[in-house]
Amino acid sequence: MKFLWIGLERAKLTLAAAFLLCATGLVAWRVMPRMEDPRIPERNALLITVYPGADPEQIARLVADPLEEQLAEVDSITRIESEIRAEVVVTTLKLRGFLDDDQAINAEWDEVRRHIHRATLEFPAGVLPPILDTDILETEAVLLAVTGIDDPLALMETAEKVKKALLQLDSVAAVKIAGDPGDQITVAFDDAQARRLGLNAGVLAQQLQQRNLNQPGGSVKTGGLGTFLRPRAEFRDLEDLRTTPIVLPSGAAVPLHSIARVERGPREPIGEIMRVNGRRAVGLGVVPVDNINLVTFGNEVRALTEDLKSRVAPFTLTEVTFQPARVADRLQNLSLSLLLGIAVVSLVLVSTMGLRLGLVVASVVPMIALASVALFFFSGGILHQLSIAALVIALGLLVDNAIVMAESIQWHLDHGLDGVTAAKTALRELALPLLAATGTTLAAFVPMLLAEGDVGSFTRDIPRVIMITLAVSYFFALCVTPTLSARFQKQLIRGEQQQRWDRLAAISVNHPRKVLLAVGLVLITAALGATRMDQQFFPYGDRNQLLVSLELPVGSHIQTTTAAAEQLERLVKNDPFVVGSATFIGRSAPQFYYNLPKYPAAPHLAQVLLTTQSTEGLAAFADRLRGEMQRLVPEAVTITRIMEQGPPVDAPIEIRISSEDARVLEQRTEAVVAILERQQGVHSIRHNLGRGQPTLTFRVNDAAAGRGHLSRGHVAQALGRQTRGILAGQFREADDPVPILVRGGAGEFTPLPQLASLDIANGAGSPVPLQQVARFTTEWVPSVIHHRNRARTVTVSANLATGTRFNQVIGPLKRDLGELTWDTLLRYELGGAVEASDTARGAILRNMPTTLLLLVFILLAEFNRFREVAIVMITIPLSAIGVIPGLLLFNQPFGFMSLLGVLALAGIVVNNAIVLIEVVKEGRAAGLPLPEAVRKAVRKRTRPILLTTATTVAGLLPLALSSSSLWPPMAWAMISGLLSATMLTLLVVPALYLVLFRNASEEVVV
Amino acid sequence: MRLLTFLASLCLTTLVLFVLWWKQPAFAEPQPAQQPLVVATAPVTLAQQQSFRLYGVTRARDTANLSFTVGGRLETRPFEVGQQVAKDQVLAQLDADPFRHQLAGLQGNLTELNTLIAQAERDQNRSSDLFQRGAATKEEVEKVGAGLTAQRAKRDALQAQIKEIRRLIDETTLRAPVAGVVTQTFIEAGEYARPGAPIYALSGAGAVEVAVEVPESLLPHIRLGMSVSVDFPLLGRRAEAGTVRHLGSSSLGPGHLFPVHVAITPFDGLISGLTAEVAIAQEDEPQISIPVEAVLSPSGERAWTFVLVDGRAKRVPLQLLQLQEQGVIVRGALKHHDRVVIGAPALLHDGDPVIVGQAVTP
Repeated sequence: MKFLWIGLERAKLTLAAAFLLCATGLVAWRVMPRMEDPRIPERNALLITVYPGADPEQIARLVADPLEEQLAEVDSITRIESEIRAEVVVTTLKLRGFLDDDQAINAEWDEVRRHIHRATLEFPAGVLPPILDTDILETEAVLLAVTGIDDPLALMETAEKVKKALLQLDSVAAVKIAGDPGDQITVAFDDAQARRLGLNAGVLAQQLQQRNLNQPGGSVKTGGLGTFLRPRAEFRDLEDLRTTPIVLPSGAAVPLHSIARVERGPREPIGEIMRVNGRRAVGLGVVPVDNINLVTFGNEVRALTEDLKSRVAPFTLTEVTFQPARVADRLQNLSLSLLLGIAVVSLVLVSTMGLRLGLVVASVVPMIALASVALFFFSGGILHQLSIAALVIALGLLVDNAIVMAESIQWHLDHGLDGVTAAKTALRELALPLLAATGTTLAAFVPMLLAEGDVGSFTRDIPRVIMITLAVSYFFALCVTPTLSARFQKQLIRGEQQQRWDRLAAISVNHPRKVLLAVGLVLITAALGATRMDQQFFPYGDRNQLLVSLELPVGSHIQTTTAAAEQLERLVKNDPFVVGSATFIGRSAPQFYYNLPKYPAAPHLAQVLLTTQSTEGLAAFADRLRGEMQRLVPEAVTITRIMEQGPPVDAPIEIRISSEDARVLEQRTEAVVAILERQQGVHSIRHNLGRGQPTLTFRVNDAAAGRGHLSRGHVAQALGRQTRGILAGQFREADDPVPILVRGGAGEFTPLPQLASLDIANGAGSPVPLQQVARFTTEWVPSVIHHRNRARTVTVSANLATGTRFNQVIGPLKRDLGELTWDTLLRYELGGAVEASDTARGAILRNMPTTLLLLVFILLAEFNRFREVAIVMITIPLSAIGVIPGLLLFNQPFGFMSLLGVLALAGIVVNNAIVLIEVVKEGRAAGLPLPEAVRKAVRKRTRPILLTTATTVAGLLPLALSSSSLWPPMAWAMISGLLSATMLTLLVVPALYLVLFRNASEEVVV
Repeated sequence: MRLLTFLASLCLTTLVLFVLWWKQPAFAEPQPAQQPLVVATAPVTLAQQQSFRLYGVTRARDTANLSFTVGGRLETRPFEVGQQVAKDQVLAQLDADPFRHQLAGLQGNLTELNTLIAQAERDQNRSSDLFQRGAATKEEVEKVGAGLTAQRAKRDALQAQIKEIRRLIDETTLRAPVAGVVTQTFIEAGEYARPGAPIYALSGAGAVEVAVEVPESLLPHIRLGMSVSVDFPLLGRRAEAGTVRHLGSSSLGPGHLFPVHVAITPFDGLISGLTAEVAIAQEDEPQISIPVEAVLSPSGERAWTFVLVDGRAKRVPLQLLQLQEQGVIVRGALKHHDRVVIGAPALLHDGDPVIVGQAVTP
């Protein structure tokens, strides 16, 4: 045991080392990377495959099926979801949760890429190469917008300049453009004139193509140098293109502009639109490099934008979202909580232990905190709200070892030993029990540390920080506290305070069975109460932002979606509660928050990000807005989203119905919607079945076509040229190559009768009207098809009304769904918050057996007796008695964070039982009769137990009272659980001990 | 001990509060929400008559290819394409010299013949005198008379030849048969023009019609005398009424369609050669149409819509016929002026009460 005294014997060295570690911690605190939330590894990806001209059923058959088959072969993929719309399939991939480090995840994505490549070999001709986006959780920490002039191309040009400037910053990893209008040169010929002149898109495109070549001219040697020959075989500028002569079939030539409108404009059909406060804008999402101090990053970006503002005039550069400010704010608040925690804990220590003893114990609190920060930094830690909050939680725990050690040294001092001897004696006595107590607390955090998946990644830093801190606190208790105590503590003359706990001890000693019965009853009541507990898995974030999604029926034209978004913009324009709005049409909002689901290429979707004056009244405002929008735009589903913490969830309530039969799926969806409609507390009920999309099918009469020297291909090409245009090369004088498209004058807006009498040029050059060779019929096809893990699926979803939590709805919903008939061909599963919370809870609870085994192992090592281990373990459920009323009293939901709190409690409450039993054993070893030994233990240990409880509660108070939405549920669960568990431990452990060991009272305890 | 009492009472209070709360039902039992849904509606309209459009060009009803009946070198051809000509105006002149020379020869022959005839008449008078005086035989008299008759017949033939040559000379001048516009020229001055070869194409300045070619699939929808509308896309989409004047009974062969001529009332600026679109309405029974947003057909197998009846949405099955510019022609239990729900919310069922809101659909 002599090695334990090294610290004591080399006091100066010990203290110097401790101070050095603290100083390192202080430096680390300043230089550590700062973020708002922990980074969740990119286990999700989006795969976008475009098949021009195909309807959803074709894509499902020819593209999605082979793709999903290949992807299903990748073992590490746990979920494949495809949304198949006209011309595009968007597949969401999710990797299994056990993959945690970036390298392993990237290796899996490479494997996925190989399988995608294999699938492409089975694709029909014309499918564009799939694009895999594995950066979907990458947060665009700063979202800037360029506004000022409503010309999208001019905005884009300015945005490109700003992007270039931003990318010069080292801290910027990427700049993503939102609302990119695209760029194309349209040659829209006048249909009537073209017909008269005997021209069509094909001829025109061919002529333009031949004049816009980019061919090398070779080089010649001139003197000692090589001289390149550059034939100007391409259009220099738009004017050059406009005036290029077009040779007519008659042999005459006319300038292009006399027969066609030539203009440079946004790409057709329009892909996405961004607007800020009702005006057209182009957005720049600035992505910081990984593991960086976001606050510094924010300052750099802000300085640059301030500088750029004057240079982009007449355009204006504005900040739409600015996460660094929130990071700074949040971290500052939490740091304040940390300081406050230290102060409160110190105050409690000084007031309860006396000035000298209190100060000795309190002095190690900041030291341990700083030393832990240093170690956390060296292990690659990042400061974000979870790691700092974990440090606050740890405050109350880290002091326990110091208290026990200092108290024990004081006891020995009081009993006449000198400082160093007292410290040595205490060290010898406590080194192992403290190790056991610390070990049990550490064990309680193991499930959190081992949790897999997004939840695990999100919360991992809580156990990491707490475990580091506890380990540090143990070593400080062994080295630093004895050193300080030996030097500063003095012999105290204290009355036998323990006498005052006699009445408490008497309750259990005199009526052990009654106590147990009463506690058992209370426990059952609490367990019943738990079923009535409000559940909200992850709490709302505390941002003054509201994301409003307008979902029009799939297949809606982007113009219709724009009109709906404009309604919303008008609605909020004069609302004093709304500070600003940013609208994204045809796509989801950029990832300005870490858990927003991403929807690319969705013309039926608009998202409006509203910045409000405050977070208060946000829910009521959201309700009001939805009501108004339902009145103004009944055909759109309006979904309001207050930023939530935790992993991304589409909707709190989700019912996924799977069947391969489209018609069965359709009928069952209606039935499920009807059930959902009957539930209270839900709104924005919607499903993704789609309402069908009109299709004009042209059936070519091959005989008639043959007589006119035409083929089916001619018909298809003619239709495509008329509406979308035919590529006639690229204009290469701009920054990026710009496609030149030749199309009919009206393009997408060609009237149907005109389409029917479209002229099709045959090989001989004479036009044949479409109606001569084809008949067309009107058909309705599915507008969207969803696959989930290869099964055709429809998801019915709903949001919860303000104040409703999902468990209030799920029960009745499950009952009603059970009344329908389901089988293996027609089945349903619940998604949304239920699934997310099951996954998260599963991730944590899966490792519970490990914890229990660890606890039992440590306790057995300590007590070497199953009955004592059992007594200790029984105290764990006691914490639950307090948790539930505590959460109810402080109006906190029982969610994931509360669950974490309860788990953490387990490790803390067992410590109380351990120290109590230790003293009972001690007493019995000294030959005291059992009731007397128990009585003595209660008398001796109640004060330290209450003291450690008081410090833990004091440490948690700043978090419990913080304005954040994340921490109060956890803090209150821990506070109330700890209070009740402490009180009950003091009653239950003696009572149980008496009951279990009464018959064994003659045993000699070692 | 005070701390203990405080903590114990805190626990007790919490428990009491909890039990009190627990006795309250957590929330009211779910009741069917029969609150009316807000929906957007649109009227059921009579379908626009289905029409198909055909493209053609205007042309004069009177058109002529002008040619010479005689051959010869073209001396003058003063008019070019597009020039107006008056009736009887000289359009071209062939070189008439060969005919004139012929005429001169014939006229010489005639003079010679006239001299011979005069001589023969004198001979006849003389032989008649001689016969009366008995100085000549009757045979000699008759011989002289026959000679004279033959000469006269020769003269008649020669005179006819001269007349023909004069006519031919006249034919070397090409005159406009009607007032009109030169639409084409074929031969340049100096070239040899064969008889009958066209020199000019002339469009009469009178009525103008539109000639279109019709695919056979549409032919059954066209009757002689039916009214159609004619658009002129290059005259600012000017629309005029027209009547089918001629219906081709046979096409011109493979790759060609059936010619149809549509007469239009003249207006200023109506000339031959304009691009015209002829819209021919199909004369079907009146049909009803609803906006495409009102149709629900998620799986594409069956379709329905919701119609507003007494403040409730009633589900009506539909048969979808033909997509039109403003909607889709349907068959189903709908009437003109009924109102159908557009963009029906996901949770709308047959018989649900609804309130009519606005629609953004343009």
